Amino acid sequence: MKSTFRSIFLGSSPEDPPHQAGVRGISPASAGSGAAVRMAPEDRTVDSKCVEQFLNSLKSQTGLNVLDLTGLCQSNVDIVSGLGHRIYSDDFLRILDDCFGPPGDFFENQADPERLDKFEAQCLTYDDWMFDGALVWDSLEFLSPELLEMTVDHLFGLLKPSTYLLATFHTESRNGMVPSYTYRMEGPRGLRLKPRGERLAGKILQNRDIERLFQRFNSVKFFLTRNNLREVIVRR
Amino acid sequence: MWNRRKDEPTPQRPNSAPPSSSELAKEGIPMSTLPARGFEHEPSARGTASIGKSVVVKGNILSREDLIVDGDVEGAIEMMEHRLTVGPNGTLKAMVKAREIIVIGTIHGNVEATDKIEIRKEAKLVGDIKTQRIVIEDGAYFKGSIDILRPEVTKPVAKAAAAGAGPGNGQPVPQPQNLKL
Repeated sequence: MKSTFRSIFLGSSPEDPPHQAGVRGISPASAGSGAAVRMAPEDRTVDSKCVEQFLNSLKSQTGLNVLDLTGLCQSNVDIVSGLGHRIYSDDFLRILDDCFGPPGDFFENQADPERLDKFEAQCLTYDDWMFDGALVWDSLEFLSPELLEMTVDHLFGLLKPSTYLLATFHTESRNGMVPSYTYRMEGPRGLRLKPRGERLAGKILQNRDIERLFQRFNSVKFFLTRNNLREVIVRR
Repeated sequence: MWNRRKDEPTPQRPNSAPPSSSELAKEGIPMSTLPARGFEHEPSARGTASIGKSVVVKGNILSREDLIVDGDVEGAIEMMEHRLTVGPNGTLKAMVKAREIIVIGTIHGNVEATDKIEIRKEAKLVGDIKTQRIVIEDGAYFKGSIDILRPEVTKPVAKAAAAGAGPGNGQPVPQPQNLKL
């Protein structure tokens, strides 16, 4: 089973040493800090229709609960609280590194029951139907298929019906590595991508895969950007 | 996974256990009104109390002056008119209410700042925040919710608004901080 995981996620042979296979091209400086991370490209701001649509969905009411998994940042707090809502912040990638980071292979660790228990205890520990919107960003790209399915299922439970979830997926990878960012909303449709290293993706998902992933949700809408990023807004 | 949810206790910090109450009684709790060293804080004309980094306090603290905590506190801290600074070595497992809160160290617990909370890059805060204003430095770890409290609109302004004052007649009207999308 584990070797199957490896062939799916890493595209490497089962004979490779686990850690080397999981962290290809990683620089020594970042190797000890977490899982499958190396330095990534430049800081940039993009125009995001997805962000615009997500924020529009929050405008008709106040006092809503919005989940943001990119970690604490001033601009997201300002924008969501400026609309009169409460923001729930968490740093999903940091939790992933904490739970599934070295020693061992990042994706194989995601099948380890003890580590999964730790992850469950730390991550997304909220009540069902608690949120009126979720900013998931690229968090889902770094999960093994099994954990990805469980996480999306759990997010479905946390969201109220007819609410929106925003996620991003890379359209291509470089030897399995994709840049990861902190995502900062800037104004009604601006999105600043602040690099936080390149990471090994679980799998590059195509539109069909994404539709299948969110099949329990009401609708899935794709927005292609010029940055090898596919923005997805999903209606619960 | 999440289906079998249970309230698991937050993992304890691995380092040393807090001293027993008898040990504390022997040593006393060294609180002083001298400014703490090792990180910046603004001097106050009325003095600032501080809890040093080797001090453990279990119990509630009610303060009528600014306070710097660089040690461990378990309990509640209430200082509605004053500023609380949690220094780089400070660890609070406490519910905190203060006028202004600056977090450089660690807080596990809900936090209410009647005026402002400042979360510095080294900070770790797990709990819910209620505040009027928030300043966040990149790099801080936070898990919880942030509720921005809006100051209540005063009556004279409300009356003026009701009487038809608004943009166009030169009268300023308080605007909600909604973005024009």
